[in-house]
Amino acid sequence: MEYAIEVSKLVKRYKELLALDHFDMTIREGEIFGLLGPNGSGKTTTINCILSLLKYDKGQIRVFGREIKPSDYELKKQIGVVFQEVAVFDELSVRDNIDYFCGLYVDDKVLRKQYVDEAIKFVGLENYEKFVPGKLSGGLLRRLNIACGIAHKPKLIFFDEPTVAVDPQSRNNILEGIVKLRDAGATIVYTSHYMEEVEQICDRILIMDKGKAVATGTAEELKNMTKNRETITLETDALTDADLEVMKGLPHVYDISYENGVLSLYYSAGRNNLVRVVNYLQEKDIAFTNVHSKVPTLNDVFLEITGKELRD
Amino acid sequence: MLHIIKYAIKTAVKNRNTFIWTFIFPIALATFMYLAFGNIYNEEFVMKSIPVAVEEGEMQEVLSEFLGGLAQDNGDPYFEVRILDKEGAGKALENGEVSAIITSGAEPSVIVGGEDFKQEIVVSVINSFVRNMRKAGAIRLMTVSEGTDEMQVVLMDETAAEPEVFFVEKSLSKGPQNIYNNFFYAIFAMGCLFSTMGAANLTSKLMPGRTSLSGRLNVCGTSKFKMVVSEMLVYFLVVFIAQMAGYFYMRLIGIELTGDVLAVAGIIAAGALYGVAKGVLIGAIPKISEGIKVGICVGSTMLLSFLADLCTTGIKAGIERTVPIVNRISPAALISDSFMTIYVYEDYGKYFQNLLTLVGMAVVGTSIAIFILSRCRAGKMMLKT
Ligand SMILES: Nc1ncnc2c1ncn2[C@@H]1O[C@H](COP(=O)(O)OP(=O)(O)OP(=O)(O)O)[C@@H](O)[C@H]1O
Ligand SMILES: [Mg+2]
Repeated sequence: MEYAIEVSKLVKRYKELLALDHFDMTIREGEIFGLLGPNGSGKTTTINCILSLLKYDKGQIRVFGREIKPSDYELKKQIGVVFQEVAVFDELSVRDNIDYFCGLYVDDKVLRKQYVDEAIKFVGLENYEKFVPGKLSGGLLRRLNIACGIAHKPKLIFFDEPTVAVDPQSRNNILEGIVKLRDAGATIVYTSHYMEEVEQICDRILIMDKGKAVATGTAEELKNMTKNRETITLETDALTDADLEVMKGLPHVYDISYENGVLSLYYSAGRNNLVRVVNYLQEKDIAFTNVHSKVPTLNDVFLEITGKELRD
Repeated sequence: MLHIIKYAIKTAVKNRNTFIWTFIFPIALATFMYLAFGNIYNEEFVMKSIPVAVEEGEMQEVLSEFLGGLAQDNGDPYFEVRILDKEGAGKALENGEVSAIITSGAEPSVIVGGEDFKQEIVVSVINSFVRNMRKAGAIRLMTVSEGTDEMQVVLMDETAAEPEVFFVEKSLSKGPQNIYNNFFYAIFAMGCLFSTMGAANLTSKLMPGRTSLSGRLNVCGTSKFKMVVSEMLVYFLVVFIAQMAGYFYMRLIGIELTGDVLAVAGIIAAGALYGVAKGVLIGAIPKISEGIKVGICVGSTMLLSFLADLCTTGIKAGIERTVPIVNRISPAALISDSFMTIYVYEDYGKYFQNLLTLVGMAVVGTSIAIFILSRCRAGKMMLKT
């Protein structure tokens, strides 16, 4: 297996703050790798260290098997970056901005024009080519930022929270676009604190907190790390202690609570859990409403590992 | 590289406001100075003869005849020459009876009592005399020929088979104006030095960690050499064109900066290159804030201008006596001195030496800046810009 990025025991301090604490991460070629963590967990710091923008205190970083140096322009040519903060020239139009950045990698004019056109299409800015950044809304600006980062068709692309402030429609377009980039052979590092996004597109996910990697794997693997696999809740006010006793004995139930007419059943595994509950209630002719079955999200994984919510 | 140049120009054009100052600066300053003492260019300048002492010695005849023969437009002599012995001359200078003493050794030199334009005239006349004397080898005869509107003093070299004629002063009647011209040269010197500030931003914006844009420019696949050199080139052209515009403006309003335009362009180009390179170097100093960089730019520009007499007079001469090396590398001194070489001395050897020094320092500074830029990483990224 070829690794696009190998980070081992990376330590980065900002004065007394430990931003990265012996952080480990390996990213395979050709995958979309999600870096999921709450604000301030060190996602951007990690990317900046990998890109040799930041000094770090300890550890080793390899990109395509090479230690990356600030002057390794050959290696940098293969990388595309979409920073969390928009980085474009205020004086230049949308098209000029994309062309400028693309031209820092691609010399051939004809090819460049084609790339720029494709990038504009990728982010759907066809109607805004002549606009300067100051005249774009926040979401459009982010889309320009993305176009500038990917126009040159890099082999390895970093997206640092690219979809913040982008409307759901365009967000989906962007996410689909990223999948297409992967399918075309690019390796993608995607950071976000939106678990839904990460779950939707990432092949593998690393959950980080306070500068440490707390878990890595596919979304499925991560969810399998939690004890809870399903939670069923329903509203009813006619349950007796005997009923609760029976329900506690249903397969895979490890915990049960009944408060203010809300019944919650916690399962450690199993299928058809809901059917069994409903069947029992029907048999006993007990009325109920508002039935929910919830399977764990990455947030639950995060909650279980760190003891706090991913999003506040 | 052409790509970066193209966009640097585009950005510069869009950023008119910043660049307009580069253009306004020399023109505004020239206008201001012209209004302040420009009337000497319009009115006939009448001056009392300058009293000078010629020391007794082998050259006393030649010198006194030469100096005595120089006359102003209105026929008054330029100099009132007295031949005194060494001691008498010293006393006369001390008492202020004469403005300068000219020694009469094999090669005359000037001792002046102060630093005003009278002394400067004496110095420039004698310098010119000495230079021509060197060229002529031996001077036997001096003739003073009176033109209709301009005085010409010629030295004849009689040792040559064909008597050669050397023009000592093309137009001595413009003597005092040459002195005022110094202030106008100073505009160019300052203009070049002030380009430092704008240039500092060229590299400052490439320091990783300064802004998100600087981070973005640092991760791209183009070398720092190409980036810096292309951006420098564009900014250099802006500064150069602005200074040349200032030059033509000065000539237009009647300031007599005569001389070879190419030679002037050479000085301005070398000066602008120096100023820009200095800014590029300051911009690339790691670990210091923008504010401090601006401070260094302003401070060093002020200091260099001050050392080169752009603000006051007398400092440069003082340096020349004590640590002359400073004047050989002080850019403002080199720039104003180069103007003197083309307008007053016509000494092109010195001219090229000055220009090469400026260009050499520019190349060294730029190389250091690129060296720093191509290996530095930030300690931390600025969180917000
Ligand atoms: N320039 C800096 N100086 C001091 N501390 C910093 C600096 N940059 C980042 N930090 C700190 O380092 C930690 C990690 O920051 P980082 O930007 O990497 O987090 P992040 O995961 O990208 O967060 P977000 O989701 O908000 O983008 C934070 O606690 C942050 O406050
Ligand atoms: Mg971040």
